Parts: sequence; C-alpha cells; structure tokens
Amino acid sequence: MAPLSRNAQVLRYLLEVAPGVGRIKLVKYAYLADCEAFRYLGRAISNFRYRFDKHGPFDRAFFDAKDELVRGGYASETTTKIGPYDGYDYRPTDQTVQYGFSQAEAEILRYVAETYLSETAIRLCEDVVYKTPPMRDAKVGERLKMDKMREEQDPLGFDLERLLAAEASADAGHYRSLKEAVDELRARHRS
Amino acid sequence: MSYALAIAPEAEQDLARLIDSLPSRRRGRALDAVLAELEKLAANPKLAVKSTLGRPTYRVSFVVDRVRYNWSATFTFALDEHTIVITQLFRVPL
Repeated sequence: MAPLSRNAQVLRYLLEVAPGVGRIKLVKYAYLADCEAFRYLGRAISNFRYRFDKHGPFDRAFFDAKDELVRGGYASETTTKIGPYDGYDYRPTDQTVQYGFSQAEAEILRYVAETYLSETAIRLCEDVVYKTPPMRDAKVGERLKMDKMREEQDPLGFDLERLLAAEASADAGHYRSLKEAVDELRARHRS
Repeated sequence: MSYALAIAPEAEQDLARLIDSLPSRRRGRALDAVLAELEKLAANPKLAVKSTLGRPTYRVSFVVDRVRYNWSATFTFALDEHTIVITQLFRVPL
C-alpha cells in the first residue's frame, strides 16, 4: 500500500491524540501545530497552505487528506448532528501508520492536540486561532503568512531538539549536580 | 521541602555558552546569580510556569554591573522525585 501523504499523516496523528474531534477542530489543530512548528523549528509540519476561510484558517487540501484516511481505512468518519447542522467526527482505526515525523514534530502535534482537546470549536477559534500572528491582520480569502510565526533565531535561544535530547538524558539518569557543574565552569573561567 | 538541583549534559553546554557570551569580568558573578535563582526554584518549583510546549519554565533574571540578563530554564523532575533536572537554559528577549 502506498505510504500516506504528509497531510494525511498529520491528521491521523492528531486523531490518535484527540479521537472523536470534528472537522473544524481537526483543521485548527493542524494549523496550530504548523504555527508552533514555525516558531520552534522554522518550518511547517504539514503541506497545507492555509487561507482565511469563513471559519478561520483552512485549505481545501484538507478534504483530500481526510478522504485518503477514510478510503484507506486509517480513520472513520461519522455524521453527527450539531444543533441544526450536520457535523462529522473522526476517529483513528486500528490500522497502523508509519509516521515520517521527527521527534520534535511529533512532540508539537501531541502538545497541540492535548492542550486544546477540551476547548469547543468556537472557543478554540476565538481564544486561540484568531489571535495567532498569521490571522491577526489577515482578511477573508487571503493566504495566511505563516512565517509571521517565525521568530528571529537567537543562537542562545530556545532549541526544541536540544530540549528533547536533554529530557532523554534526564530520563536515562544522565545528569549531575548543578553545583558541581557550576564549580567546574567557574574553575574554567578562573584559569 | 527543597529539591536537589541537577543539570543534564545538554543544559550544561547551554549554560557554558551563555556564560561565554558575557564579558569575562561578569562571568563569575553571573554564575553565582544563576545558581541563586535556580535555588529559589528548588525551594519552590511552583514559581515556574507551564510554557515552552507545556514544559515547566522558570525565568532566570539577574543583574550584573547594572546590566539585566533575562534567561529561562526548562526542567523536569527526576525519577527519584527529589531532584529537579535542568534540561535547557536559554536567552529570552525580555
């Protein structure tokens, strides 16, 4: 079977963390993950090209990715009623997926889905999505400028990949007393 | 209860690079200040906020020669539950 496209992988990974979400939240999760990825890694995770649609950031390629998941048996799509409207909820199936994400990308996807899981779609849009820099000055119909998320890279600033490596070291018990490390640095600067 | 303070090797390198970026006459006092700030964290980890992709993050702000430095530290709790392990030290804009 052909490997899943990058966009389909993003949606499926988000569904594994947040099964049962609807279309609006799923697209917004992908958008927020791409925002965070621009901030911390300087690039997006997905290949979506977001426009300011009537419900916020959207790319019609979402439908292709969603159809790819459903057709391939990687996710289920169920029609639900949300008041007078038809909605859809999506869940991952048991079919395994070979993800092509780096550890940092997977971390960002997991973080976004977990953090915003309990938000309603409306609150997610109003309180979070519409306040992101690419959305702030955008007009309906416009392509969103995701690189507004990119912060000037400071060589001494935060580095997600190094953080993950340090967390792995800590988990493996590879650390030493801070005082010992500071004393060693002090001695180095004295000599 | 105060936690023991430890540092991961990657964060040791961060600290060394941050200290190296300072004028040499400030380095010793900066090290003292960083240690003092992190001891406040060890005494009360609730001073940290959850930011930086949900990691507890603590602002390390100090003054040397009337210059204020704003750094941040991320940390995790070791499996022994008595030790805070610093996982990254980095410069922040403000």
